[in-house]
Amino acid sequence: MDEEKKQLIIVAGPEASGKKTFAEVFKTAFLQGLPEDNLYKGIISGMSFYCVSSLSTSDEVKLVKLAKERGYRVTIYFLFAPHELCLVRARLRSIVSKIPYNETEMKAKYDSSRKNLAELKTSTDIVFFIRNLKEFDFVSALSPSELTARTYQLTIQKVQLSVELPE
Amino acid sequence: MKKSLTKKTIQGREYFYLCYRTKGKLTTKYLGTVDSPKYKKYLLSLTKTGANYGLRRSRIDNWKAGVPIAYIEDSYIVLEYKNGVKEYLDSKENVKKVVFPNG
Repeated sequence: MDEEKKQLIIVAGPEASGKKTFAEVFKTAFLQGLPEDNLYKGIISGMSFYCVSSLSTSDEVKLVKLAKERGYRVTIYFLFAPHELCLVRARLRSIVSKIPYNETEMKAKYDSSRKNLAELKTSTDIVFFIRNLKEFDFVSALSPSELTARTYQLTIQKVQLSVELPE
Repeated sequence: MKKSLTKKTIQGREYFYLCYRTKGKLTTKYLGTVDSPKYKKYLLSLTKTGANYGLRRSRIDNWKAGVPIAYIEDSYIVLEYKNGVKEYLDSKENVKKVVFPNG
């Protein structure tokens, strides 16, 4: 039997899209019971781990690319929810759990997390698309490396369109 | 019944098994690789059982704090209050309709 490859599982998606809840519910199944760590510390440790990240900054993108270079098998569970719902949830969460939020920052992060998902095409082994409108809805699983950049981008756009609210 | 998922990597390929006890006897069910229909069916079954966990927990946390829960229904943002009242908002957060528990 071969030595198991190091695993990096990322629960990603915009702010207030349900990442932490998803990680909590599916810790044993999808996250394979791995310990949680932040991207930087986890990669430096060289151990298998999972992290919850919005993937909205260039630093996070660089770290995922670094993980891939260091031999990690990268799996992303990306949560899709409309921006308007994320905003309302963030507002309610700020009352319930006193977690602060900034509406302007949230919009910028909302857009960049999807762009970064597309940019991580060659660094991702498997990506799972999950809609979170009312309940977690498993949309599809695919290997980005088997798709062209254009097809991958279109697939992301298609899932995004399926959650957007009419104007 | 508690079932645990185990994974074996053989020649770089991952194979999944489901282990559980029936009448004290340990049973192992082979699910196949990440692409196999059995494994995908297992993932789907998980999302079915755990899918509404977030909603159930929000009901407890939010309602205890006196705020509604929020989700999407029929392309509207729904704010559901503890007393059963549902407010349907459009993308600009304008209230489009209000539904009371008894219709």
